[in-house]
Amino acid sequence: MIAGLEYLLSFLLALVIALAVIHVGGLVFPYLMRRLWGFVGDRHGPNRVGPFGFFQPIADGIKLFTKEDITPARANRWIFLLAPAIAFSTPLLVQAVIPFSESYTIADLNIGLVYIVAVGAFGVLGILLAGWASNNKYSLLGGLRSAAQMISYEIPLLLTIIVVAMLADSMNLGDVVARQENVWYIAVQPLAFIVFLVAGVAELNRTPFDLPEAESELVSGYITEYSAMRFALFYGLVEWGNVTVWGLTTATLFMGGWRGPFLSGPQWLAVKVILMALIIIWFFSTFPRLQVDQLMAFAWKILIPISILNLAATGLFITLWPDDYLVPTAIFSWSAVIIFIAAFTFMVKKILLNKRLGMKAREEYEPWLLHKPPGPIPPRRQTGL
Amino acid sequence: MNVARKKTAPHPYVRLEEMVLNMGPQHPSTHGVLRLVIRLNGELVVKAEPVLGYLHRGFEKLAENRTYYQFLSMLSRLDYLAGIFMEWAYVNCIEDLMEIEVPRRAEYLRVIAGELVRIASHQMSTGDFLLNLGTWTPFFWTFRDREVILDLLEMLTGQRMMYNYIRVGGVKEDIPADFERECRKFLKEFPAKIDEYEKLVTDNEIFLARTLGVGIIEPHEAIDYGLTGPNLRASGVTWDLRKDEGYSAYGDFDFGIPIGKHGDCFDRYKCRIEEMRQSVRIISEALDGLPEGPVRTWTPPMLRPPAGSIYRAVESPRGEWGNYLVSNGGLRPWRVKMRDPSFIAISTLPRILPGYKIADVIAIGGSMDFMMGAADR
Amino acid sequence: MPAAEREGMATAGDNGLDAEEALARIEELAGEHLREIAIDDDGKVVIDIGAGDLRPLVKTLRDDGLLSYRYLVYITAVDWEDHMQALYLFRSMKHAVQLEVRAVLDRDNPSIPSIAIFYSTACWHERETYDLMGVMFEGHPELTRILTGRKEDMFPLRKDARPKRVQRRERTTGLPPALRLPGERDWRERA
Repeated sequence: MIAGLEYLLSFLLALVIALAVIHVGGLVFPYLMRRLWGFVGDRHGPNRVGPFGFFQPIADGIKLFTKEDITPARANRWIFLLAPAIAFSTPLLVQAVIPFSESYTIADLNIGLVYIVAVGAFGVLGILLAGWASNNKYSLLGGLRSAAQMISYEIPLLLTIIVVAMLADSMNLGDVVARQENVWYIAVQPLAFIVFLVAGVAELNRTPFDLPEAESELVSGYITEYSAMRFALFYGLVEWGNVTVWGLTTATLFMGGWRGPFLSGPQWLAVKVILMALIIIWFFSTFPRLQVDQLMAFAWKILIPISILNLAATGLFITLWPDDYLVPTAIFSWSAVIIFIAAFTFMVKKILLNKRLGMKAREEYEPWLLHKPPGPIPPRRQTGL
Repeated sequence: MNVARKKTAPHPYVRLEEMVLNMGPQHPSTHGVLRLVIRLNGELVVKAEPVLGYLHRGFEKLAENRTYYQFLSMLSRLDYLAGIFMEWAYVNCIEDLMEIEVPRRAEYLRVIAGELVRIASHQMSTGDFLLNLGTWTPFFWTFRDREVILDLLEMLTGQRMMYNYIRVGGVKEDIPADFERECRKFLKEFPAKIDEYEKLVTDNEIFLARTLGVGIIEPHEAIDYGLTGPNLRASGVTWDLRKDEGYSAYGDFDFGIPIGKHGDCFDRYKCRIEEMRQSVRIISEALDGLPEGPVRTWTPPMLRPPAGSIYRAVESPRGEWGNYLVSNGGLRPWRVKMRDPSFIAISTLPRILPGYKIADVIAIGGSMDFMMGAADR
Repeated sequence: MPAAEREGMATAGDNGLDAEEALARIEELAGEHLREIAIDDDGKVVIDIGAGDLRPLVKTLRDDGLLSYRYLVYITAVDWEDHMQALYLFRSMKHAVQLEVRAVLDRDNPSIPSIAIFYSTACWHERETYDLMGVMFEGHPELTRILTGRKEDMFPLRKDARPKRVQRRERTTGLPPALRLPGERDWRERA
């Protein structure tokens, strides 16, 4: 009896914590995004409700709660209503294995990494169902894009998670954090971190991989037909909840989890999550959106080979130097990052220009001929082409 | 040599069902109320058919029912981002029919106002094009700088967008006292702003991947379709009415006409960016050489142009805006025909779009920069 | 070699043809199709033709290397109350002489061959002219309404086109006061 009550209480506590994390993320990050994005665009952003506009998300939430919840005619009603709930389950469930501090983990699973991957892959189902059930062609296209994208980017994500598991020699997230006592894995494996970051942004459907909800093409894709609370659920809570949870995962896997000087465990986690969210906001404010085939090509031709290479190299180093594999791994990983970034920067432009110029040599390309009579031309910045 | 058009090639043994997607008239990226009926094979466009007329207001008929002056004030509602060029072409028709002499100062002021409007319009269209590609920030940056131009135009014409500034026989009024100072300040600051847009976007790999080689229009196609303006010049055809006809005071200024070589989205974008720089140059030259004198000649309160017909065109930001005016010697025009570049740009879409994906449809549409208010008339 | 040079028109530049020479060349090439040819005040060549001669004339002038009228600026029509007039403006990228082709059509049944096979842009110009003026372009791939709605039952730019509502009002009161100028009592006096 007592044991049952204790179990119930701990379950309630876990539920409250998980929901609180998602809701705080879903309220704070939209505000942060709009505000910072506003600064990038030389605007103020929301600054009317509360101090510095901080209560804007709450006002939006109240507005969305009180609006009419519309189900489109001839939509598949039950699936349409169920889809946001399914999508919402992902950020809720992933938190179960994240260690929030030295002593508190909701469920200390010894296969926590497998659990994260398994539950994280669940989110695509909600989006796919939402797109299909909406009876809207834009939503359908968004759902399909989302399915293709998330399945493709699941693979590099998985491959990098395996690298972390190998480094930590454990699949328990508590152990992963414990092993990062001296050095964070971001310093040991920056290559894995970058792959995880890129694939994660793609998994989260954020810019530049926000194809499923492209406003300018698909009119917000799978959320097109959602209104009122369900829209808020999708747009605020699921998306930004996913960002929060992804930030938690990244912090745990690569940035030492709750570890850090001066502050307590949850505080450090919060700092790291906000850092990851800032990266996403930064991407959002500056990048255009990729095309579907480019997105797929990026996953299959670049990310997956890199992560397989990384996996093989890490395995090799662990086999060769079983006691002290961190140093060679770090050397390999850092040099690989530098080489890949340099090669990528040069290659992509070359490939793109070749694709465009066909058989013309690059030297023949003079973009800006001037019309008769030429006249003095003001100094023009070279575009690097 | 020329990059081959991408063809849709489904596997012969796979039976694919095509989907008809109605893009617009209420769609965020169709620049107003264009409706595109697109037949899709997966994400690939098989057939695209534009449907127009959602903004048809019957301007040509309205012109026949109004006196020449009455109609003048309506014209900027056609292409509401570059309204001054509509007035300019129409006024040119009347002036040349009635042989009204326009003071030199007025011609210079027209050029200044026109080039300011051209910059504002190009800013809007490049910002919008980049927004179509999914990046928001350049859109706000261009709007921030467009605001400065609109303030200048408000100073000059009294209005931000619907100018009614160019009148028969000159312009509405002389420049206000501090216009020249403000304008020079803007001209000094603005090239750095253009560099800023370019720094943000033009070198970005994703942007290059989305625009290079997308939506190619060959030069002969462009001429066959009657494209004008940046869309034509991006294909490598050197044709600009400001140079080739030298109307108004454009013969006095030294400026370049940027042309592209490939006719893809990137060249069209880049042409607009470069045209902004050239416009800055024209304005500063016009301010330097602004002649003294009146800004308007006397014209009768009721215009009665002699019977006859005339076609006058100006180089608007979207291309050749032409006005064909038939007068029968009465108080109202007998027939006004407007030759509109956006209408023609849209007519190329069924030819260009098949074989591209939905996202490219949006990119190509954005780079063609059409204005439905003018296309539907 | 870029496509423009292959086609021999786009970047070819100015061949210095003036209006007199263009007129002579047109007469030499297509003399049998012309009814009247002149140079107007703008310095453009104006040709009057019969509707049947349009296609051979346009094809000849488009394909000629010297004239090279490959750019169709617009197609329109003017309703002159007793007859209809179709107008074509051509331009060449090689020289500055523009060409205007006019054809007089029967007002009750205006009809002229389509030139959409020679100029891609003509397709939409002809649809527009049909839509607003009711000129039938024979051989056009799809001559449908483009600017007005599909249910439009009149050709709005014809001088006698009036919605039924306005027709009723005009029968009783003449021209609506808002559109009347001093000295005008009826739209028919509007010369």
